[in-house]
Amino acid sequence: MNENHITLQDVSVAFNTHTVLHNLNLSLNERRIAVIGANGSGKSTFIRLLNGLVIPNKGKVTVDGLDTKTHGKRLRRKTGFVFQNSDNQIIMPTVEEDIAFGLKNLGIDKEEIEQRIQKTLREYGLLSLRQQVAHLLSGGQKQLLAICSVLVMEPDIIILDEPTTQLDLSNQIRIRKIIHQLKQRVIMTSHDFSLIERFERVLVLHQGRVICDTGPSAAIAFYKKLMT
Amino acid sequence: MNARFLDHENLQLRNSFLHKIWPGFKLSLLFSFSSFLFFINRLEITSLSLLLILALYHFTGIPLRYPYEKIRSLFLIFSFIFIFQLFSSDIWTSLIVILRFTDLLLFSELITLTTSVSQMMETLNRFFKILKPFGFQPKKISLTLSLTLRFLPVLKQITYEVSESQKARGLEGNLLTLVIPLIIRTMKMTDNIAEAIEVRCYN
Repeated sequence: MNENHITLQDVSVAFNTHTVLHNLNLSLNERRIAVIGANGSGKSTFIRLLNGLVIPNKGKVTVDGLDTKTHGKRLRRKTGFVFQNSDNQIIMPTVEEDIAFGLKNLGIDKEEIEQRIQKTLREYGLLSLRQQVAHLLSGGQKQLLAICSVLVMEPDIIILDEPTTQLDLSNQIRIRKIIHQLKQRVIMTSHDFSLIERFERVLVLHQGRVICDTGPSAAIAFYKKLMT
Repeated sequence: MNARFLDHENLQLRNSFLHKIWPGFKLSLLFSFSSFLFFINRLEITSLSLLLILALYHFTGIPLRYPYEKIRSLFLIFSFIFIFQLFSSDIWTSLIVILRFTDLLLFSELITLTTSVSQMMETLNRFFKILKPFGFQPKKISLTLSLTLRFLPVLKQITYEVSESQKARGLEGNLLTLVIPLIIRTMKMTDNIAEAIEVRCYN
């Protein structure tokens, strides 16, 4: 069993007749991994593979020794996923209910749920908004809530899909800081080069294939050249 | 007083004697009052009920402009019902029908204003637990209700966005050009919500 290790063996994903990812063979064990690429390059499908939201048509994905095909539920306890559009990720009507939602699903008792909600909201400056209705939050607050709702479940790996895309500059800076300070392993797609430049490994996806796999500076330079 | 001040959510954050009453009692009261209204056919009782409800609004600290705006927004529908009733009965019965609707609407609004969503969900969850032997699934019903409350304003926002973009293309007034994109966006959104529920370990 490979602990703290993600592997993709000969992985292909197709939707109907359209192949989105082609024969990926990767071994991911860094603590900060970013995936960049143009729209439609397969970034979102790639990260959805890692918690079993997308099952490969061919090949095998294992996360810390768990096959995504057969251990979907266990994997989702292990991996937290933050979606691109936080509006669709916030499920419950109020801030505290949304934070509690995942914890209730994990079967955690009321007292601990309360403690974790308090701790997380205080840590991320949302305590005053505890009873606020979710749709009245600003874009930055919604993204923060989406991240908090995942962090409160204490996953080992955090997967983020373009976490700063819909934010203004000050919220981008805030979210970047939070991501850099996360204790967990992070795998993220992004177009935000300021966020990526502190990552250990960057994969450049192009038409469903990893065409560059290196450190952030070289990967960003390669990607810029590819796009111009 | 601006519109934001009168937002349902902002009023809900207040703290009055009605906010402090046990939510189960308030919901039972709402149920009993609705049933009571159904059997009452006297103008003086429906009018007195309305006055009592308005007094409750006042003592709860909710500006009377709030119920007024609510009724005003439904003026057309109420007028239609009133005229329709006039054809089948007399003016007093028509008035009773309108007052009954007004009482029901304002009282249920008052209860939702003074009961937080989480309190309401918890109470309904308890209620549906009693009905579990009859095949009710409290968790699923509770999630459905929460999702409805959460995404109604989002749907409203999407409707606004689609309507604005169609207006920009000169397609205002055509219901189909509003409904079709709205359905497509809503279906896409439901896929995303289902994924979001799944990643949060909902069984």
